[in-house]
This record gives sequence, structure tokens and C-alpha cells, in this order.
Amino acid sequence: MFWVRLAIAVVIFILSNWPLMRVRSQEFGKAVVGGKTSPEGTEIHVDLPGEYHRHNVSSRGSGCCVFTSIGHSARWQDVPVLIDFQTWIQSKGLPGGGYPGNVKDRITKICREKGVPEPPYLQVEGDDLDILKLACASGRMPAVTYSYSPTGRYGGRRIAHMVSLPHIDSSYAAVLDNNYPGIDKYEWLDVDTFRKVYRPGWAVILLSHGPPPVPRN
Amino acid sequence: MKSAIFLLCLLIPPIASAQWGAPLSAPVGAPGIRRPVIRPIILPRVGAFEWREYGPGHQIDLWKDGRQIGAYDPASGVYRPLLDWKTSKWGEPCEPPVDVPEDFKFKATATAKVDKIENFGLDLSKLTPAATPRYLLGGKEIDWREAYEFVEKGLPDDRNKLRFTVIGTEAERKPVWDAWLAAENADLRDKMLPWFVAADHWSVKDLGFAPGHPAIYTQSPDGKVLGRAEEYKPEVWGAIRKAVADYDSRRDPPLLPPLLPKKPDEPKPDDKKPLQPSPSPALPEIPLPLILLGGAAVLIILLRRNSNAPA
Repeated sequence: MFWVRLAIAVVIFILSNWPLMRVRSQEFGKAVVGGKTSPEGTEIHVDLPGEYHRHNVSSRGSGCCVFTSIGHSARWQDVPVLIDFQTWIQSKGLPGGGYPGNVKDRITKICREKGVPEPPYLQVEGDDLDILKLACASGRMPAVTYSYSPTGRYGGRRIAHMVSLPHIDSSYAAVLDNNYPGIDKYEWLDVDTFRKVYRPGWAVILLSHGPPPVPRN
Repeated sequence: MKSAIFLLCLLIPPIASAQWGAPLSAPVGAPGIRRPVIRPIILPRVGAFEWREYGPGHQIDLWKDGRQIGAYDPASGVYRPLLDWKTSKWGEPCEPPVDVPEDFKFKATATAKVDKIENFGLDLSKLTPAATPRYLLGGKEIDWREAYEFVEKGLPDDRNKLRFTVIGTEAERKPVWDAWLAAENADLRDKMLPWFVAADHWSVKDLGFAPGHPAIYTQSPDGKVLGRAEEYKPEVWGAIRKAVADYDSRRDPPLLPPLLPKKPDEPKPDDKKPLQPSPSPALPEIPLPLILLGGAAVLIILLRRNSNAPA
């Protein structure tokens, strides 16, 4: 009789806690840390070599994630004036902390200083994912805001961050987080989850083209 | 009796965490998201009002008298009243009728730590989420159709341009670059995207590009080699011009799905319309002590029946 009661107790315990056990997987869908292929086996759109992944830095007490992410895009799309954007910010003693207005001002300033024309770029405010898909599919790598890591980085805390988006299609998005650089450290999220963490919804897209495709006959 | 107490203890973890309640409502500003069923954490009441939290990254809902009346997004500091949950009608952003709990208040500062939000470089005081998407080209606002065209085609239009790649030392590339910029090759510049790099550049190294002094490639947009030279001679421009003239993108066998279809004439679904969140449906409120009492009573009855059964 004892064993029967114990079995009933275990079943009741599991059933009563089942919703809690399922919460984490339901909350943000599928998200994994991995390499250059999605969980479905799709190859990443933008394959920036690992040696060019930069770690975020700070300038005058504020992070430079925005300028680091733009630097990644500049490296991929051959915009030399912005490749070392984060270093320039530090060298000028400018505070980190980016927003659309100061990105525009600082691009103007760095180009004027280096005597080159301003590269064409687009800033998108809002949660339009289609334009991000278009950017990646056409060989560009947007810089996007990021409010939470569903794989548990940052101890589950909310964050205010900008990262690079080397891939997004109808199923998955990949995040190159400049606090976790490396070709084996892409965070792959299903698109619904990415939509939830793409907050407050701001992207910077350099418009110049990326490198040529791999040659084939 | 001991068994009843034992079984009751097993139910304490889910009850104590107050994980009861309505399904999660979608975040403010994101309509139509599939809503997972998450039990909210009910925060201490403020008079007749009650805030409900669904975990990090989600909005918090404001309830009153058993019904949701609004939602607040901690990431943006936006509160919207829920005017009619049956029709998902939400009001314009406004001040909530009761204070937002301190832990969830939006903190407008660019310092490294913003209470519960760790900041790695966004100036949140200057970043207000757009109710409808905005597109800025070099700081100037443009229409979404123009924005899509710019991303798809690049500036200038590069969607169907051929690739012109020159790989070699700087001395080897220079005469080719100078000729590329010459006036007589303006027609090629309109049709091709240049890429002049050293042989050890990450974009060409170990990717199948054959060596040369310099190596000169013309490729279709998908990578097919239309012509290659292993050194530079002025005659190469005639061959390049012929490869460009002979190329017709309509003959390319499709390797990949096409880029997203353009919809320049279709209105964007959310054009000029604020993004609407979805409400949580109201469920009947049963006081917790009553649930505990009912459960305990059922257990005791079952166990007493069992112990009174004839052997």
C-alpha cells in the first residue's frame, strides 16, 4: 500500500509541476549556441572569419556595442572607414552608448576626419524583420538591438545591447554577440524568438555590397 | 491523515510560487505572436490593482477587479491601456493609473547598469521604440518602399551586377585599378562590382580562387566563373566586355530561393497604424486558500474511504 501511495504522490507531483517544467522551453522557443549552420543545417548567410570578430569595449564608462557591431558590418562589406569604429570612439574620448542620432553624427565626423565620402547606410526603427531578411539574403550584415539572450547568457537578465545579424531567414536567425565573439559561438534562435528579443527595434544596415561568391564552373 | 499531509506537501511548490493565472499576453508592440501559456507571478497589490509578471523579456500586465486593463513594457517604458480585450483594442501610450513596480520601471540612462537591465552600449534615453517602423537613409526619413529597394539593390543598384575580382599584390593590382577607373571603362563600372584584394585576404583565401599576377575573375552574381586571367594585359578588357555582353542572368539555373519578393504596391500591414498587443483572456479568479482547502478535503476523503474499506 505504501508503494501505491508513493506512486500516486509522484504522479501528482509531476502533473502539478508539469506547466513549470515546460515554461522555459515554451517561453522563447528554440535557441542554441553553435557554429556556422542552423539547427536545420542551413549555412550562415554571412560567414565573417573568426579572426575579425571583435569584442565589445567601453569608452568613458559606456559600452560600444553599437560601434563594434557596425565595425563587423564594415569589415564584411568593405567599408574601411568604419572597420575600427570602436577604436576611433575610444581614441576621441567619446562616450559609448549609441542611438540613431549619434550614429549619424559620428559617421559624418569620422568620414570628414579621414577625408572620405560617407558610405551609404540605412537605419531602421521598429520591428520590421522583412528588411533584415532582405539585407542578409542580399549579402549584407545588419547591426541590430538585442534585449535578452534565450540561451541563458547574462544570467537570464534583460540587457540593452547591439549585436550583428549574420543570418535570418523564415526559420532561424543567428546572432554574433560582440560579448561572445567566435565562429562557434553564434546564437541560433527561431524567428519568433528573435522577434521578441529584437528590442527596442533598431537596425543599422550598411548598403555597400559584400565579398564575391565562392567561384564555381 | 499523515498521507494526506504528505500529499499536500507535494502540492506546495507550484502553489507557493503563485504560478496560476491567465495565459501570457503578447508584448506591447508585437501583434499576432503565438502566446505560450506561462503562469504569471502576481506582484503585491496596490489597492484594487495588481501587476502580473511573466518572466524576463516580457511586458507586465495591469489587472483590476479580475480583468486586465493594460500592459507595460519595461524595455521601452511604454504603457498602453486595454480598451476592450474581446476585440484586442488598445489605447495610445499613456501613464498607467498606478505606479509601475520599481524593479520594472524603465530607467533612462546610458550608464553600464540600468537596474535590472545591463547596458552594453545603447543610450536608452534616446531610443524610443517606434510604434510604426521608420526608415532613415543617412539620417533622412524615407518611405518603406524606397528602403526596401535600397537594401535589395544597394546604392547604386547592384542586384544583378556581375563580379569583377582582382587578386594580387598592390603593385599587381594598381594598373588594373587605374584602367578600371578610366573613362573608356565606364560601361563596365555600370555593370560590375569590383573587389580588389591581396591573395591572403579573408574573402578569397582558400576559397577556390586560382592564383595569378594578378588573378582576374569575372563572375555571375551567383559565383559562376565567366572568365579568368592569370595576368594583366590591356587586351583583357575586350574579353571582359565580351563576357559581360554574352551574359544573360535569365539563363542562370536557380541555385537558391529568390530574394524576398518586392511588394512596392502592397500596403504594409502596419502602415500608419500603431502596433497592437494581444490581451490575456480573463479567467475566473478563485481565491488560493479555497483551492488548498478543497484539495485537502478531497485527499482526506479518499484516504479515509481507503482506510475504512473492509479487509
